Amino acid sequence: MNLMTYIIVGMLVTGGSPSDALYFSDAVEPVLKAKCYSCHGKDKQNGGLRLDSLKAMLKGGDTGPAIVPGNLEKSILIDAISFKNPKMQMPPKEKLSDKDMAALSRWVKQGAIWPEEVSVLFDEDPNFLSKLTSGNGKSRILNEGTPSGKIAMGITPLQREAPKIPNWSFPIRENPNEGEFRYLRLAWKKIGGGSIMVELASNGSWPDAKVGKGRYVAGPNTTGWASLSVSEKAPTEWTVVTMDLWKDLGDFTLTGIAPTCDRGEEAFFDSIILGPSVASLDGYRVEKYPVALVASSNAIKKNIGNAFTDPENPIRKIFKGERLDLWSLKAPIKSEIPKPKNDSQSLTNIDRFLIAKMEAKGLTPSPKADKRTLIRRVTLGLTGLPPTPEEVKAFLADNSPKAYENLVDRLLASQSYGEKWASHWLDIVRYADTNGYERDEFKPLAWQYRNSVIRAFNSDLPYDQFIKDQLAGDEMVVATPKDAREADKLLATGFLRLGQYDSTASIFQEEARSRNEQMADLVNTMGSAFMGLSLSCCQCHDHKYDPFSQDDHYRFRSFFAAIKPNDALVIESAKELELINEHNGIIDKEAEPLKKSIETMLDTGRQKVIAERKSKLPQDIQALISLAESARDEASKKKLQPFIEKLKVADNDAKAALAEAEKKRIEVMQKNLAEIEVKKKLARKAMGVTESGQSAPATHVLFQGDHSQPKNEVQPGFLSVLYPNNAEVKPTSNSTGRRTALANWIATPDNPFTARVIVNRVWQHHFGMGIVGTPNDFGYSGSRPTHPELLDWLSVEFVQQGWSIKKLQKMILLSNAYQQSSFQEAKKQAIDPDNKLVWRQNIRRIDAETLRDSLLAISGLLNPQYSGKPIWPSIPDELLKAQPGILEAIKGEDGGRMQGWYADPVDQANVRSIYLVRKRSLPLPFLDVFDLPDGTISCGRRDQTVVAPQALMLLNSPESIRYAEALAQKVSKTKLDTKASIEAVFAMVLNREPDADELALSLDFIKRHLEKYQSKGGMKDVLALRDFCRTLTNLNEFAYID
Amino acid sequence: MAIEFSSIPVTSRRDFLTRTGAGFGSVALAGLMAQESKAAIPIDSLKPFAERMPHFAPKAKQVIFLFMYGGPSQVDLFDYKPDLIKLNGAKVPDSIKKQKDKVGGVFNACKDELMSGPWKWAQHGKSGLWVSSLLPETAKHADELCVVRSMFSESSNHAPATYLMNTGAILGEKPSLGSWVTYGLGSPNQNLPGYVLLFKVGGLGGSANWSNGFLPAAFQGTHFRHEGSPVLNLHPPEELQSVQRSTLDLIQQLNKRHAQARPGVLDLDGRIASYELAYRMQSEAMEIGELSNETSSIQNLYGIHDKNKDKATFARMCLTSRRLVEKGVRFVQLYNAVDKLGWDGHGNNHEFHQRNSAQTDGPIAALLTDLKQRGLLDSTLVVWAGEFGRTPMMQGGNGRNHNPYGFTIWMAGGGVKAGTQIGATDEIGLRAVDKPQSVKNLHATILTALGINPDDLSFDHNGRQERLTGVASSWKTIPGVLA
Repeated sequence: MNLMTYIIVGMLVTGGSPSDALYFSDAVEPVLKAKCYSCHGKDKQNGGLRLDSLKAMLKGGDTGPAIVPGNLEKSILIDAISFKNPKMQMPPKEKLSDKDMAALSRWVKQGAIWPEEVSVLFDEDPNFLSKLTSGNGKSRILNEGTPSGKIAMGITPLQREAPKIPNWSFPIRENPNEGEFRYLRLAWKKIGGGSIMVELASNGSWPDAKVGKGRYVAGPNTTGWASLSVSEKAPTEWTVVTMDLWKDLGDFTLTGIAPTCDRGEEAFFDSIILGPSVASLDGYRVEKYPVALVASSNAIKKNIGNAFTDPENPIRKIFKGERLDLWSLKAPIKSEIPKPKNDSQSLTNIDRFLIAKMEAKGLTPSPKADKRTLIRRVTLGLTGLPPTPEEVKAFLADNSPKAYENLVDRLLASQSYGEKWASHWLDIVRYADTNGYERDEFKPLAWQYRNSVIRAFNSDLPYDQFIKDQLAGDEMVVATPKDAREADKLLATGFLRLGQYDSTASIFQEEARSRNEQMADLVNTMGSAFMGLSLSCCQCHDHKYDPFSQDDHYRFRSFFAAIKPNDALVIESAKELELINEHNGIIDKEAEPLKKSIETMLDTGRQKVIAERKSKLPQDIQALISLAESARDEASKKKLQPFIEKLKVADNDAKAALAEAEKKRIEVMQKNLAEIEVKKKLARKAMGVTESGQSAPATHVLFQGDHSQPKNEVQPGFLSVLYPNNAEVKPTSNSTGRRTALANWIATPDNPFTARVIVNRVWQHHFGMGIVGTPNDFGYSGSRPTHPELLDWLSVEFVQQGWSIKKLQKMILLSNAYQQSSFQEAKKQAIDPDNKLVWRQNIRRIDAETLRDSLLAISGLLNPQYSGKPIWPSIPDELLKAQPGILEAIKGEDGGRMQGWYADPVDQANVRSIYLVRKRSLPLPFLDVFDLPDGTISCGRRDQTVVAPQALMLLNSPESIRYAEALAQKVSKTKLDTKASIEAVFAMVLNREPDADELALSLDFIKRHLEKYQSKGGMKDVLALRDFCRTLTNLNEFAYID
Repeated sequence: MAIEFSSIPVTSRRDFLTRTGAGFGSVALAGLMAQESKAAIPIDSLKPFAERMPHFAPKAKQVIFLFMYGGPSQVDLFDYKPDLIKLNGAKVPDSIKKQKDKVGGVFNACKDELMSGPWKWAQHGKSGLWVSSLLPETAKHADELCVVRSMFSESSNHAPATYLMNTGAILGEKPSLGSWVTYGLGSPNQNLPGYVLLFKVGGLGGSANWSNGFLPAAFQGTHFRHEGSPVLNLHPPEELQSVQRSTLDLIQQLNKRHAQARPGVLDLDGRIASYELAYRMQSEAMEIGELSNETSSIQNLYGIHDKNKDKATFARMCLTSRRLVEKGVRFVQLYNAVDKLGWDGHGNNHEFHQRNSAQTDGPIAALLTDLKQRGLLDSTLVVWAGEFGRTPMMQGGNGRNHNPYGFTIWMAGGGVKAGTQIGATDEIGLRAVDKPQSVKNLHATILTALGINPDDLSFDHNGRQERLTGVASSWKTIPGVLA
């Protein structure tokens, strides 16, 4: 059975909602018709103005456009009907009634929706039946019980028909021009069982009996003619249906119709209309129908099961039953904890899983690392900062059995924990502060998303809630947020705004292309981030390896179809807003006298300037100016316009015209005023998304991902392999509710991917390697888990412990596996060189941010409190000037779009790296060279490259040398002798004491450098120490975690 | 004490793979798709530029890509259209106007008025190549060029089109051509980066144009400056230069002790080696920048002392590119722009083309002459291309708008059939109509010239087998280009 493309009544194709269209035909059009068309219509165009179409209104007449949709002040029509302007009052004879005036005003204010013309095929014409010239049924006109108007038609089996009705030639097009159409709407009803059908003739021919394109049926089709099914049952009450003819049938010319009644008693038809858009149909008296009802596709389709159980599942059909053994498709099950033969090294159940596997290969875990290694490893890993010498000392001295656990607890509770772990999440969501592409504008509010992620980690926000916030936070907050937590839900929707955005696409009419890319990017990122799915593969075709169809990509895309970017989400609660207004009111009062005085003085200056400028104008203009405004005619007004502009005096010019003493007074007052006004509070705004109604534009599958080649329409849905039916979506008061449905499907224990993916990510960051080696790909082309039972056990445990990431981490950190040494014992190395069985820890290079933050921390430069807007460090001028977008800004030609680089003073840039700006077209050189991801695509695991430019950066860059200098200054202030200074630098940089050889080498180094700096006098000590600090901060031991 | 480079053990492929995210995918994929495709290329992370064998005998070994930033006008340079001259001032013919394009609206921001340029056209060389009077020096090399007049792009917007030309995708997130080439082949010189960029102002859209994307970071383009120290941070501030060696010695001594206590950790050895390489780069890269080592006749051939400062700047880049190629750098890309405008003459096409031609014509011709006289042209593929062309319709006073539907590029040198012209645009030079060529085909042609099978140059990322040229077999080399 084919399913026709029907549209739920009220779904939008062009702008406006059915109620807008209805409002026009109900309240606006009659007024225009009765009061305006006679002078501004087809026959007469007073003032060059027509009001009988939207186009004409926008074009306007002699005085400009009649209306500006959405703007009452600028709409001349509204001004005229208000009778406020004595020179233009319309209609001239009699003012409109208050009701009619209100109707026109409301219509303009709401955007002036003017439904396009429809063509009525049948409604009130009793002679229509005589046009149906053949068919073996009977027809009659009904005069009562009609859904609209006076008459309807009744047909008894089988049909009345005419493939070519005189004057019927209606072109059906995808994008109808004037006189062309796309949609058909009719009301129908059937009594006595059987089915009801309408047949449409194309170019004088009925549709092929076998293909059925052009026949729509409701109820069981027993005619033997193939047809598109509208609903399983024929409607027994009047029901309105709308068909997208173009989508079902393509381009054709409608020439005839056959209302058909198959079995049963009688079929009734009424109000058969064609329209270019759904909105246009809505404008046609739809209000007189009873409840407009169309079956939803869920009702037509029976529920289909997952691919494992139901042969009807589309994925099972597409891939012929293959690809279903993908490990990650089955929900994790908590298996029994293994019992290793030797359990002495097991500290937790994690160890039991690991050791059991090791035993099978003749391996044993490594012993615990020494305490100095351990505190360095866990502190860097949890906070991204090295431990201080004092922290190391205290930990080494703490011999209690809970010393390590207490350490873990302290670190998990620190502010810097969130700053470190948020950076892992930012990689996954390809965070950046700018748009990318040519202009790469700064997004001034993106950082609030970054901070909401930091807060989420620090407050251990349950991960399921975290997901829901990211995807649909806005749908979960009613009106303004109640509190800071609700504000964070709104901020979390910044996730949906982080992708690249080409702001210049519209200049070249490439919005459709650009939007397609954005939507694909969003779907791909969502799939990678939350579920480790490679949905990018099925943008153009069914997935090459995994059991995902191309439809799946677009089913997911459909969840996002209604989102609108919003850069002014109010994140203050109503209560906070009130407090802010109250506070600002007080400030305003305080400022008022000053403001008034300044204004009075400026006005004096202004009058002076005006008088002076006036005197320089031509005589005739001066004369005109002295006339009262009402006394000037149109011509002189026009003539005067440019001069009036000249007589507008800027504050600075007015000030300049004053005497020196007065100028000074004004300046003092202005300064005082600024000091007062700076106390005003601004309501915080956020970058996120909103939706503005319950409807969404249609989502189509795109042929080869090409936006210009749409195929079938899809509804929101999940992976078909698991759930092929449409998602159940419950609209909220002001949104489609689609994203909530998506979030709820992802953030549940039943989703086989979600918990596993995050557990694997956390594991990977603690071990340098995940249980699944490809964190963003849990499909066939990704790695298999090395320890599937452990991954599942942890995933279930994670969910059972309330999706708590901190609890998960504590579980991992307290295991022997985490605490063991990283030493690569040769014998074991021979058995498992890649450490797949986790018999040791992995030595890892610290990441870009941890490197920079560590350097700042040990040199004493770090400002650990800062947590605000992005900081722009200084970078070499030549790099800025080599970037065209920035160059444009440097020359002041970016039109205020913030394309530039806004360097902050050096001493303000000593903040943690997560607070530094992330500009897509110009990554910060220091972080970039150490493999900071470029913020364009989800990054689940960073490269750890070792290349010469890193050595050059750490050795030679002014930035690195500044850190070495600061560290040397810090140490030299304590006035220690050389040996003690060396020991202090070792303690800070490497968290340990030098051994005898190292001490000797270091002393020798400093001695030789002191000799080189003989000429520097008192500076030589600190210079030599600087060189030593530079040496230690370049060491492998500093850059690697054991 | 300097560490012997040879004492560093060569790492295994497996070890590299455990260190780069995508590597895991490669291992898995190798098993999964053994029959379907070749696995990703193994990279030795200690020597990322170690030379790798091409798939078949290459026609060219190195590439110089002259990026003509902003969109040079084909109808003013290489695409001679007598009809356009005849129709100067006329409306666009209906037959052309009514055609629909996939992206953008080429007629929207233009006047409905055709405009021919003020320059004279003549045929050059035995091949009879039409070149306008804007490029008299390039014209002398007519018989060395293979000109493709039927290129098309997929966006009429700078950044996406520039990304497409550089990375094969209009989203700035994929590895660039130079990254793919050095990932595939390595580079003959281990002391210099294999992929070098020269520009005063880089491509529109910024660093994504020379990004390594998801490939290992070693394959990111390195910006060489054409004046002063060639690489940023190549040297420490002057006051530290005298202590550089002794600092490096202590670093390496302590690093060695640290590594000895951790036997088998190849990363640590790799980092020790990277410090030595950095030290050697200091001298080798410095040497590249010493243009004064060239004879004065060579300096003058390029015009590095030209009164036209912009020409002199571009001449320095062209000469530097030859020096880099001579030293064995695999892939060099130059951007010609000296400001953010380049060839982008919306309002004043005449002035923009006069200026950019004067700046680039001589140095490019000199580069071809010089490569040839040194016997380097046979093994070096020179590519001249912008992100798109310009409209034959007028925009503003005497400007031209972006035109992705038909534009000209040329190639010369290694593997290219010299003195040939391929494809054609319609009678006014707007759309490619005869043998239209995608940017993907251009990339496939370049890779093939280098001995690479485009389908086998792949990398597995986020569950997807990525290639410069996209889906396997979705490309064709441009017919008639390769000798």
